[in-house]
Amino acid sequence: MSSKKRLSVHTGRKELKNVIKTCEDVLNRKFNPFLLDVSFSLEVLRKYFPLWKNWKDYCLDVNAINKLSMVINLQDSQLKLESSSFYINSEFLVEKFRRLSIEKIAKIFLKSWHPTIELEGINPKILKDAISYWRNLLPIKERWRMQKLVDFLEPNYKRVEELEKIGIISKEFIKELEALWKEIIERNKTGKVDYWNFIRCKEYSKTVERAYLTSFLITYGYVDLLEKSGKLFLIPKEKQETRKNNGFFSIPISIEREKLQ
Amino acid sequence: MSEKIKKAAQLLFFKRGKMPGAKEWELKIKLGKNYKEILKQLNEIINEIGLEVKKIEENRLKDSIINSSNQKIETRYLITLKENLSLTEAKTCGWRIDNLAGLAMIISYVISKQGKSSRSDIEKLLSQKLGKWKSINIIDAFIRSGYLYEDDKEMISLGWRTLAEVDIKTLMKLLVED
Repeated sequence: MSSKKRLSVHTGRKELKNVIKTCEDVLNRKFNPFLLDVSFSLEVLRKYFPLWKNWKDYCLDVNAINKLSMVINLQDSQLKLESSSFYINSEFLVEKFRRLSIEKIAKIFLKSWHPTIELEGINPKILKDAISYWRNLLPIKERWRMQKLVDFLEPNYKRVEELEKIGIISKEFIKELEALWKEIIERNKTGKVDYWNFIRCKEYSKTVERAYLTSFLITYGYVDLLEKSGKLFLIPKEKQETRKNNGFFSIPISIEREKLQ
Repeated sequence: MSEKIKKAAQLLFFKRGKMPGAKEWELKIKLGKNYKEILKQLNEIINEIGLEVKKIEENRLKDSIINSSNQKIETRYLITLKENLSLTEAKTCGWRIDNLAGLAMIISYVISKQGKSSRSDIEKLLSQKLGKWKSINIIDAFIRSGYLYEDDKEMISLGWRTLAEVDIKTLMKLLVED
């Protein structure tokens, strides 16, 4: 009995993975969304649901439900598309292109195309920047030599004092970061720290400065930035945590003067 | 008012960033609250030389913060040609016939696939007419110029430039009728 149950759990996982894979194929437009029998797939999910005991299996079940709902959504938009004037069956279209000459297709396109007009201008400031760039540009041989030097440099560590000497960091900057981190920790004791409330100051320049410093705290892993119901919150950490290298990404936050006022 | 129309023309004609035209908030700041009225007047002026002011909505924020459901819609105004170009005129502008045909094929195919299609399917479709290498190259070129958008799963959808420049309804209608 127990081996039969284990087998069923195993088969169940396999079947759920199949459902998810089929849904993904449909979502990636490999098949027509109506080729998937949603009610049958739901029946499969229902059949195996009583067997799930651990969270991984529940996650698999939730994932399958989520993917099925996305397929239903796609079926809905497919129906809307088919009833609109945009609709052409893709196979019919491929056949049509096979028959039409390149020139004919280009002529059809030209009847529906209104290209954008854009001009590229030059002004005294751009010219000035260009001249200064050109004057400061080293001869190509020099640049190649530097490139080679850089290529052979092994990565190594520098002490904070050394970095200060060469002007990469300053004590003041570190102090400011520490003060800001402590402020976030203090504020967090009385409730969640709203990002915008935290960085907002009377002067716009101060606001930008606080946002700039906060961005370092987030990047270095002293603070987390979380989004909840359209709001951004700063979650401080007790100590610095190195971020797991699962693909770094930037979060651009625009600080618009008029929105702050 | 005429000064503001001049300013609007400069903002819309001259390319400052990657994309042409200007964002709605930018126009609001530089032209004032009645920027829509100014744009309307500019439109009337440039209509006479075969151009028009067009409003497009950008709703694809690539680095949307944490959650993709938080997509903002930003309105952008730009200037497009009101009339259509002839084949000779398009060639004069630097367009090759096979690139035009390729773009038409991709746009209509993506539409027929509900606005998204895999890159491999598109390459297969184009290679029948243009050959494999040419197909790969023009897809990349269209992505760079904003006609197409490719996500990290190699799925192609229509880019901002297609939405701004191509009258999709007319294109699909003409393809069916022909």
